[in-house]
Amino acid sequence: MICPQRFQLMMGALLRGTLLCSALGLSLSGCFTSHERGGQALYEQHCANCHGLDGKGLGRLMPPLAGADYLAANRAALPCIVRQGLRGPISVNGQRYDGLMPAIGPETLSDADVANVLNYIRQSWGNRADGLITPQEVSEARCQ
Amino acid sequence: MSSSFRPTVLAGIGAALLAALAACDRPPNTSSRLLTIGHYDVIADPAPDTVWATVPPFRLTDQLGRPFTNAALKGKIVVADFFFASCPTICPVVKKEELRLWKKYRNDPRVVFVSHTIDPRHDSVAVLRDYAERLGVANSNWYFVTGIKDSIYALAQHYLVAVEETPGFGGGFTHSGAVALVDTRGHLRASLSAGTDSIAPAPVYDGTRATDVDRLIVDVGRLLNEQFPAKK
Repeated sequence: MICPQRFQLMMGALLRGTLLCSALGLSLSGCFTSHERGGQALYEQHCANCHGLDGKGLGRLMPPLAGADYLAANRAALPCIVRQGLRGPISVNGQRYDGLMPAIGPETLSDADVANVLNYIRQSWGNRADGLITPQEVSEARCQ
Repeated sequence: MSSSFRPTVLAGIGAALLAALAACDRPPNTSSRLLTIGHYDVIADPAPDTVWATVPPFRLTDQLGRPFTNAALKGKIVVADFFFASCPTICPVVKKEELRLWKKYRNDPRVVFVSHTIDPRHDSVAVLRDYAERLGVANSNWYFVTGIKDSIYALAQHYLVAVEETPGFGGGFTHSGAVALVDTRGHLRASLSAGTDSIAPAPVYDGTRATDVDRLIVDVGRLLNEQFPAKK
C-alpha cells in the first residue's frame, strides 16, 4: 500500500512530467523513465532496443543477456563494454555474434548508472550473479 | 511533395497517440474495410473521384543480389519498412515485432515483406544477406533491398514513412519505425486505431509498439480476406 503523501508526490511528478512532455512533444516512454534512475529504467532506456525487454536479444543479430555465459566469463570487462562499446566477433552460449555495440559515455550514464544497469542485467531473467558491481569499480575500470 | 508530407505525418502521429490513449480497452473495429490512405489526386472526369497513388517505379536489389522491382510486389500484399543494418536505436525493436507477423505468413505466397535500407552506402548486398540470415528469415518471402538512395527515399514518401540522413545522430539516420501495409494494387491501407471514431487514421503502423503490430496482424488477415475472397 502506498501512503497518501507518497502517492501525491508520485502523481505530482507524473503530472509535471506529462505537462513537460506535452510541451516538448516528447514521446511518452522517454518522459516517464527519465526521472527514474533505477537499473531497470536505465536498461529499458539504453539497452532494451537491441537486447530486448526480456534480455533475449534478436536472432543472431543481437546477443542475449538472459542466461548469457559471456556475462559471468567477462565480469571485469563489463563496465568497459558499456563505456567503450563492442566491435568484432564474440561468442555467447556457443553462438557467434559480430555486431557493433555503441559506446555510452559519462555524459549519458554516470558511474553509478552503469553499476545499476549492470547489476540489473546480472540479476534479471534468471541471471543470478554473485556480488554487486560498485560505482567505484566502474570508475576504476582499466579500459583499453 | 515533401513540404505537404511532413505535417500530414505529424498530425497523423498525434492523432494516433491520442487515439491510443483514449481507447485502451475497446476492441478494434474489424467489421469495416481498411481505409485507403496516402497521396492522391482528385479527378473531375469522367466523374468526380479520388485516384490513390500507387507504388512509384523502382529498381532495387535484394539480399541475394537479384533485381527487385515493382514486379515483385504485383498481386501481393506488401508489408514494408525502412531501416539500416547498423541502426542502434529502434530498428531491432521493429524487426522483433515484425517477426511476429512474419511467422504467421512466412509460407503465404500472397504476402511479401520488404525492408528497405536507408543507408545503401553501408548496407551492401552482402551486409543485407548477413542481416537476413542472422535474423533467421533468409530464403523466405522477406526481402532486404538496397539501391539508389533517392529511389529508396521516394518509396519511403509513398509509404508515408519519414526518413532523413542526419549525420552524427542516432547512427547517422533518422527515421520512424513505421510499417506500411500495401494492397495488391499498390495502395496504402490502414485501419483506424482501436476505438477511435476519428477520420484520421494512424498514417501507418508504429512497428515499435506491440499494440500497433497486433493491429497490423489483424489487418493483414482482413486485407487478405478482402483481396483474395474464398471461391464459392
